[in-house]
Amino acid sequence: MNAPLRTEQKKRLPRDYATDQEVRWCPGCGDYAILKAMQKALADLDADPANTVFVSGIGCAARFPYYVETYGFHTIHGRAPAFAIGIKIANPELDVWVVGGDGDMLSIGGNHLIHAIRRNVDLNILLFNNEIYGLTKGQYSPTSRVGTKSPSTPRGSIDSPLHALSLALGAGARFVARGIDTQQKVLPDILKAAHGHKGAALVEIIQNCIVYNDNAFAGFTDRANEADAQIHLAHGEPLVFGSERDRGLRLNGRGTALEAFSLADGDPVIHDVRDRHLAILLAAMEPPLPVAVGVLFDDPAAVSYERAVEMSDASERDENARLGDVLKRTATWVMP
Amino acid sequence: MGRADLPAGLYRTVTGHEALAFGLLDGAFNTDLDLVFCSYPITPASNLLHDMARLKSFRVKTFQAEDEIAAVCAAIGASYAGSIGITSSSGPGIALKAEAIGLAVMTELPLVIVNSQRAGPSTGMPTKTEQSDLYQAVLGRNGDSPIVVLAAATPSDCYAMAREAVRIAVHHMTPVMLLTDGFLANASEPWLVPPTEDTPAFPARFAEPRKDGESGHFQAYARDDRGVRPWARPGTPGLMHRIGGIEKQNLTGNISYDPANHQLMTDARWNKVLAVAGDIPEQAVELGETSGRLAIVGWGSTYGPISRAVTVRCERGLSVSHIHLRHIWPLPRNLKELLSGFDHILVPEMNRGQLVNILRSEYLIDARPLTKVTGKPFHIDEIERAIDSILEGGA
Repeated sequence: MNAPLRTEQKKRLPRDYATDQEVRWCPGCGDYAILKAMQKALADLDADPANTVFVSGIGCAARFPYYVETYGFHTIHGRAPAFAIGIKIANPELDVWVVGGDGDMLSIGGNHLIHAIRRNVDLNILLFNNEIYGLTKGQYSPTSRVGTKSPSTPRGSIDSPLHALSLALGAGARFVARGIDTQQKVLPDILKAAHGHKGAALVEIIQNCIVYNDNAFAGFTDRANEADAQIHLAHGEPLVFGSERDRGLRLNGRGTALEAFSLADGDPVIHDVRDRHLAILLAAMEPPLPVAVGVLFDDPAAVSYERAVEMSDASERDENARLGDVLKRTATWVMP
Repeated sequence: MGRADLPAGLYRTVTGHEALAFGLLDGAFNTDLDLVFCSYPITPASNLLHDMARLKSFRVKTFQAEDEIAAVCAAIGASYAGSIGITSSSGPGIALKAEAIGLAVMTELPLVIVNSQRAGPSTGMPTKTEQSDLYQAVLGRNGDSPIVVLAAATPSDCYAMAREAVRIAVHHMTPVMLLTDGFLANASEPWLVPPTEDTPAFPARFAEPRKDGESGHFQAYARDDRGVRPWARPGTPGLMHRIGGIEKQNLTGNISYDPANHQLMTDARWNKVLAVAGDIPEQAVELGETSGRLAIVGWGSTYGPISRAVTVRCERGLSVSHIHLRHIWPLPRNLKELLSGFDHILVPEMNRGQLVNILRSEYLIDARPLTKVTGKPFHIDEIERAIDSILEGGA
């Protein structure tokens, strides 16, 4: 299970982050690609396996920790962010990644996700969104689009889906990003950006479930149309997309939404990762508008939650404090 | 009543919740661990959160979680990371924590859960006292998932039992539930201030880092002779491993669905908890002889009325003894033999009869219940009358 320790300081490779455990996802599952991107990101970061912890809930995505040669804690359904907070409070030096799916993090664990975000705990939270419950065999999920036919909704689902990034921004997120499982040139950089953000970082990873929801995202992930159906974000760069790079995004007349237009007709908005309002508009974009990929928002707070806890505690801590003294810090009397 | 006959020494008053806070802190000091206290407001347990938040001059961190589940999960996360994680609640909150406690059973991590019991099912009577969560404590999880259960008898006893809860959790790598109740938590009494240690008396042991070149996998589920697995803190070089709620292979901790392995691991978890009986005191008799006609077996906050009633009846020359359990699960190793020395056993409880059934099922003895669920403690005369009815055929 454990790779032998390195005796010479050679930079780690992606394979150094692989365990000897048999990967148990279905053949063709998008999770394989995400695992590969993660192992590349860890290698690029030269992350210390001993100081890295992967925490997960329940679901297909939650198997992730077994396949990464770091510390790993596979917890219970929906609660991974809560365990991760305890880990960070106990030891803020640890590098903690939280992994879960849309059912895990947005349905049963929705409460923990929004509170981890609003507290701004320094966690890298990876939400694998496949818009379906895979491990329990295909029921519709909180991100499934209206009308999704599934074993539990044979005539199509009725409830409106949650939008993970909009929810996170509403909860006060200071980092939100979106990646796509198969984009091996893009996804590792997004993961590294999340890691670089000190505070809660949410990355929604669009992930294809080949068995229960195959091609759910084909409308914007197919090679044939991805250039027109996605916009890749870069801080300080214009919001431009299209196979000919001839289309852009600008604010509508009232400034309440982004609209696509031909660059021949004017100048696009320049992406600014510290602009919360722009991030809210980018997060809301759905086809036929291009789907935003990359870092939508990255505006770190001065201090993350567990560091604030640490600073607050340090201000009160007294190395000379003795319980025996505290016990007597009240009215006492002597019984002869 | 006459003058209280108390041992000589320095006294103060203490409430149950204060003594709990001091005892948990003392346990953390003596295990040489940071204490991470994670809780969610609930009556009558909230005072303990307030008390802990005032002890930040020590190695104490407190976390008010978004709900009961997050509180226990954060406490488990803290224990996983090498602190002693503690959570506190009352019955309804403990119910919400049950799944996570099962994870702590499965991952064999230290965890202390304080249950300040209140009256009734559901919301019940939050401000009234009862002892009706004993089944929940001992049995209330899915699967065969044993934990250690302790119960404090008096406000000052909360100190010793809280310290004991931390000690057992850390040294046996197990969740420990400490039962108090609304009456105990809020009652106060004179307290002989206990001596405290200058250096940790029972420090925690962590798995050692691996040396460069050391080969072979770290075995997260290799047990010592007490059946206890190693505690390997993230951040320790060379000990990278994965744990979780899925059944694990013996020794390695890898996922395993092997039938024989599940039997082995289930037995190992049980045996580990049962082995705690070897690390706790033998059951003593509080009052009266060590054998005789009648044993009154109590637990928790019934200590006061039972103690008075037995004192009064002993003075009248009746053969009655008071036995008070502080270790509910596992039961003290000599308890069966001790109880076999009495003709009659009466178990007063503020519930419909829970400890009495555990004693009956464990020992096949004719223990009889004396139950009360009014939300109020027993009156002394209620217990006196029960004693009389057994020993004198009604009086």
